[in-house]
Amino acid sequence: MSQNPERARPSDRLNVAGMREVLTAHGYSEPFTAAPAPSPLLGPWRTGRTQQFNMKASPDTVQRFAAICRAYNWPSGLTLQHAVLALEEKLAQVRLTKGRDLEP
Amino acid sequence: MPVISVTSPKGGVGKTTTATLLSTILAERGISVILIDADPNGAVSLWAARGAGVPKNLQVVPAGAPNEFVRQIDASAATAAYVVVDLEGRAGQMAAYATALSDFVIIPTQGSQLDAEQTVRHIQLIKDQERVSRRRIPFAVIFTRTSAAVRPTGQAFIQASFAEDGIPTFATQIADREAYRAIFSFGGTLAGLKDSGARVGKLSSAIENADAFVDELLQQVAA
Repeated sequence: MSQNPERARPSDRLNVAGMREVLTAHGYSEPFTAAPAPSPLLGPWRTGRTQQFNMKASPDTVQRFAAICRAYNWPSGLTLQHAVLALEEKLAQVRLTKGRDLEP
Repeated sequence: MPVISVTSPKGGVGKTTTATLLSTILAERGISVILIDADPNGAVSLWAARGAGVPKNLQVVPAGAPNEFVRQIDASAATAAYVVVDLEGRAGQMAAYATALSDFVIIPTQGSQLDAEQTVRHIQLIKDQERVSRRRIPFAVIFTRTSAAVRPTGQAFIQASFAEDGIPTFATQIADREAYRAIFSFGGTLAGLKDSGARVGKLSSAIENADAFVDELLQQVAA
């Protein structure tokens, strides 16, 4: 199972041979290091999720959270991780610096 | 997730200032940021090593060797909402990797003809990378170390030339301000300087200027 099926890794964009061709064409003459190895996906034994996190939420929120876990076959910790990243990106974009505008 | 690289073929154009302002302001807005220091001068790492006032959700890490650099960017993008890469002042392998992996590339330049010519050559390199990677690599030039009060004729001419050639530029410029030097002298952030009551000239203007730059960047990343 992929840890992160909906997000491409930045390295998926890399065309090392093409990049070298471009750099050489632009006069870059230093020797290239070995091609970088693709990043291994973290297995469940190396997730870094080591801390217990309990909270109360509305039944609706809990059900929707669980639905995402089921849909992607993600453990709750991974879903929370994605949720926090997605919220941070959203907040960066809409500049809701205190987050209060999202309150119902 | 977005990876933002700050790159230029020339040293001393304000890459580290640009990367640090961007990273600290995002972090102070509650965003998790990893700032990768890929400049051998290590100015960002030295700034972070001062310790005082580095936002808790900003992690500054030195870049690994070129063949580890790609993994490092992958891992950073998986754990932080924004990844900012401060690169060395020359076109090379690290800059090429970072550009290839980036969601947006910022090219700081000063308003001189010499800087402009190097910037245009660097843009050609990015365009060639777009060709081989078969994707658009969004980028924009930002004028740095400009005068907050006046716009010299030479700089105005370069801006007009860039516009004519369709080279995207930030409307915001990062002016030459004491506050931007002060964060490297004292450590911490612009907001931290304000909270500490430090006597730094035009601090409010510096904060407004840096905020405007970050807002404009976020709009461009979203576009």
